[in-house]
Formats: sequence, C-alpha cells, structure tokens
Amino acid sequence: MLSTENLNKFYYNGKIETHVLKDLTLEIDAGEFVAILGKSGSGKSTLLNILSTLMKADSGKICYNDINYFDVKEKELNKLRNEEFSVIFQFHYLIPYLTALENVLLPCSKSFTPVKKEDIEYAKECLDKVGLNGKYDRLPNQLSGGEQQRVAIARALIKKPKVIFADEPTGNLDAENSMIVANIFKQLNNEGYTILMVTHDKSMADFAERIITMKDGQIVN
Amino acid sequence: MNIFTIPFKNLKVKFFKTAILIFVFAIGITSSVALNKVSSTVSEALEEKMNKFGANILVYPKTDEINISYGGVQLGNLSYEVKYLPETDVVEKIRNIEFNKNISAVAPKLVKAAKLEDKLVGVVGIVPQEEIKIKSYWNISGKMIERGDEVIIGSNIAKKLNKNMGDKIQLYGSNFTISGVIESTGSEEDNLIFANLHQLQNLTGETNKINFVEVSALCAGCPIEDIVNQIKVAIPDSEINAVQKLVKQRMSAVHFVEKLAAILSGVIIFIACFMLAIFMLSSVTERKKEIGILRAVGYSKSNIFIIFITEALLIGIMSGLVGYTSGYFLSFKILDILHIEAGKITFSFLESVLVVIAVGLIAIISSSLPAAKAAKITPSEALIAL
Ligand SMILES: Nc1ncnc2c1ncn2[C@@H]1O[C@H](COP(=O)(O)OP(=O)(O)OP(=O)(O)O)[C@@H](O)[C@H]1O
Ligand SMILES: [Mg+2]
Repeated sequence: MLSTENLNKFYYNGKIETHVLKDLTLEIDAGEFVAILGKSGSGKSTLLNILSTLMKADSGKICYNDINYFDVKEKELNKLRNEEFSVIFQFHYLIPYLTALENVLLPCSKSFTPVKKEDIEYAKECLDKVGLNGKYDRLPNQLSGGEQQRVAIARALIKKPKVIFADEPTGNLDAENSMIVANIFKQLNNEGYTILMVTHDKSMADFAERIITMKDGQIVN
Repeated sequence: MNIFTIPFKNLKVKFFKTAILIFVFAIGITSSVALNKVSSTVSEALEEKMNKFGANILVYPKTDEINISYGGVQLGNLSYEVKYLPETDVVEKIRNIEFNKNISAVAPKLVKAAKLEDKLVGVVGIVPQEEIKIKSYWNISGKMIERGDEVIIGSNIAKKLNKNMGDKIQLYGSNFTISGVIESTGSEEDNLIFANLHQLQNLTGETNKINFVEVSALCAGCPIEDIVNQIKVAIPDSEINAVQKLVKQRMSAVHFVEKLAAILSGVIIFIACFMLAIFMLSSVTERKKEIGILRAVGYSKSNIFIIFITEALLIGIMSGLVGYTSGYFLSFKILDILHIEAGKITFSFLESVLVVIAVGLIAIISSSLPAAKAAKITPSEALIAL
C-alpha cells in the first residue's frame, strides 16, 4: 500500500548538509499497525513527514498504491492529505479559536458550501469515540492536554482516511493519557485503519503489530 | 461552518486587534470621504462666489478702427461713428450655441447720453432679469426696475443731483421714477443711470439696437475657450472679449481645491493600505502554525489565499462602512467651521455602497501580497514552525 525505495533526504543549513534518510526502503501493507522506534535524531519524523506528503524527499521512489509522489501534481497531494491520510502530531495543533467540534470538522470545511449535516453527526461520533462526548463546544484552551490530543485524533478520523500517521502522539502526555490514546489506536486498527506511529516509548510500540527500528537514517531490523 | 468560518472567527477572537485596524483604516476613509465632500462643496461655493464678480465674456460689434484706451482713459475709436448689434438676433444666437447649458446670463446693453437737469448723464438700457444675474454684487437700496418707467441710479449721481428713491426725473422728455439707488461699487456704474432697455430703445429711436452684450458663462470645468469660439462662429461680425485671465484664475482656484483633496486622500489611503498590508504580513508569520495545520489536513494554496483575502475584505468592508458614515458627518462639521452652507451634501445610499465596495477592493489588493505569501508556505516550512 505504502512503499519506498532508496529514499534519500538531505537538510541544508547554510553550507552544512545533513543526510537524514539514507537509501531507505520500506513496505507497509493495508491494515497494519506499525511503530517506528529509534533514537532522537535518527530521522523518524522526517520519514513520517515524507510518507504523509508533508515533506519532499530528494531522491528515490515513494508510492501510495500506484500514486508516485514525485510524479503527481500539488492538487493530487492535497487530495491525499484530505481524503486518504491523516496526521497527528506530538503537540495536538488545534486551531485555538475554533471549538473542538469545529477543529474536527476542519478537513470538511475547505469549500464555500457549509459542512453537511451528516459530517457534523459523524464529527460528534468521532469525538464520542475518543471519550469527549459533551465537550463539543469547548475551545482548545478549555480542554486538558490529553483531551486536546484526542480532539486531534477525532479530526484524523473525520474523513475516514486509509492511513493515520502519528508522530509521538503520546510524547506530551502522562502515562494514563498515553494508555488511553494507545488503546484508541489499537481499536482504530481493529476497525481497519492502517496506522503508522513514531514513538520513543517501548511500551507504546508494544501495541503495534510490527516495530521498525531506525538508526542514522536507516532501518536496522 | 465553511471556509469563511476561519477568517470570521479569527477576526472575532482578535477583537481588539481587529478593532484597532478597522479604526485606523476607517480614519483614512473618513478623511478621504470628508475631504472630497468638503472640496466639492467648497468648489461649488467658490464658483458661486466668483460668478458674483460678474460677466466674463463681452460681445462687441466688429470695428476696423483701432480702439485706443490707456489707463482707463478712453481715446475712443476716433471716428465718432458708433456701431450697433441687432439685439434679438444676437441674444438668440448666443442662447443657441452648442454649450448653451453653460451660459447663465445674456445681458444686452445700449449706452446713451441724456440731459438731466442741464447735466449730461449716461443712461444704460438693460434687461433687468438678466442684469441682476451678473450684478449680484449690486446692493440696491430700493428695488430693481420692474416697469418701463422706472430707473435705478448710481450712488454718485444720486449724491450730485440730490436724488433719492421715489423721486421723479425726466429723460428724453419722459417721466421716470427712481426705484432704487445702487450703493457705491467703486466702478463706472456709480455714475450711470440704468433704465429698461426696450424703453430706452424706443425713446432714442434705436429700436432693437445694442452696443454690447455681457455674457456670463462659468462653471467648474466649463470649456470657456470653446464657448468663445462658438459665439464667434454664431456672430461673425462681432468682437469677443473673454476675460481670460480672470476665468483662468477662477478655474485654477476651483481645481486647486479639488486637486489638493484628491492628492491628500490618495496619500492617506495609501498609508492605510500600507498599514493593512503590514498587519496582514505579520499575521501570516504569526499564523504559520495554523497554515501548517490547514495544509496538513488538505487545504490547497488557493484555500489559504482565500482565508487571508477574506479577512482583509472583511476589514475593508467594515472600515468602509464606518469610514463613509463618519466622513459624511465629519464633512458637515468641517463646513460648519468654514462657514460654508452644507446644503448640497446628501447621504447617497448608492455612493455609500460604492465606497464600501471600493474600500473592500483596495483592502483585497493591498493584502494580496501577504495572502500570496501565506499560500506559498509549504507544509514542510510550516512544520518547522510547528
Ligand atoms: N529543518 C531542519 N534543518 C536541518 N536539519 C534538520 C531539520 N530537521 C531535522 N533536522 C535534522 O535531521 C535529523 C533527523 O531529524 P528528525 O526530526 O527526523 O529526527 P527524529 O528521529 O524525529 O528525532 P526526535 O525523536 O528527537 O523527534 C536530526 O539530526 C535533525 O537535527
Ligand atoms: Mg521527531
């Protein structure tokens, strides 16, 4: 479903060149729950951002089904981000002046026409699923960190995507909230979502079916 | 909820910032609206005032003789043969030129000498209702002549002959009543007697004859040269003396006020636009994270552009509404301070709508660069900001 071949990524900081991903080859099948483990600076986030189209690789091949990222236009990538993929970050990244419900509906409201009733219903359903029933109209700053992260997860579900990318989704949460999030992910995977999660935390990685370990821009296992 | 929810809510939540921006932008619009309203009223008032200085085109019979006058001393054209113009024909022709809408008064005149109590006096035949239009600087104690047997006299004559309103005088063997005395104007008019033109023509046997016509044609932006030319074509055997210098001065005074207002408004609006652009630019930098989130959930470049442009448009529309309304009221206040009648200023719904639309457009234009900058931010760039 999602595959890379000899993927390379460099960062340029002035004259200093950092080779972050080195000929990385990877294959992820539909319905998998994959955890990416590795030391800080090993290139986990970079890989995730490239797979989720947010960042561009420098060379190699990267495909989602038969869509080659290097070949398609911006419009196609926007469509992938909106309909096929969802990204959850370490810092929930909600829009501060929109309510929980509106933040969840964000991917549905990029047109001039108002969001459909069924979308609103489904957004509420998603919020309920992550345990936020009754908190639809709260602003992000009226929610706890764990709750905010769960709003971000609900937002990731609204478009019924195929793949959910999560970059240290529990990195900012305490053990209890981490468990809640991990269990939500497990449940989502059972419902058929493909999940790709970057984490530091071995106990989080244990929820996944497959663990990929990264070191210096390469996969080591 | 749709794409406009984002700019709406953002402005709402940053109420204080938005209010200040609208306030500043509206000040620019207010001063522009007020300036333009005041300048157009002032130039109209100015034009009206200047029209009161009298006629600005003189139409004489053509003469081959050289007219010699210097320092106010008329040496005459030395042959004493006086030439005339046919009254009805000339007046009609002037009234029918192409630009006749710009002609406010056509005042034909016949000048004659007469004996009054053994003194030689000058009598000018006038058409009262035309004359009064160009002689608005006349202060008549009494009233303008109405009937054929009435005259008004200059202040010097009144003094020298010891005549006053209501007195009777005899001219050309006919009785006249003095209906009024013109207060001193400091001109030749102080020494003249003004009578009804047709009465004077009958009494002196000069039926339908006139010496010259004074024409008042003035309005801001009047094509005075063209008017003169058209009269020249209509009455070939005439000589036309346009008081060009006076005309040009009047025009330039009127246009100066308008130009000044336009330039000032331009500068003010430019500064306001600049401020809006700066505000939007800093807003783009500040909201990089937000742009990143939106891009990550699939918003396109044009979606981002629309969000920022909509914010600017909203600010523009609100500034336009506030600015037009307060500019409208401010113009009354300014005119009041300048002691100018504000009667001509009216609230026009259409004008207010046009102003609001124009300000909206200006806001869009001035924020299109920052909005384009926002749209250009790539998801990975925004991620670094995350
Ligand atoms: N924008 C950037 N410019 C230059 N170098 C960068 C940039 N972003 C990341 N790097 C470098 O690339 C390497 C990989 O970074 P990346 O964020 O992918 O690591 P990571 O595995 O996610 O680390 P962590 O666990 O700390 O999040 C690091 O050495 C980092 O310093
Ligand atoms: Mg990372």
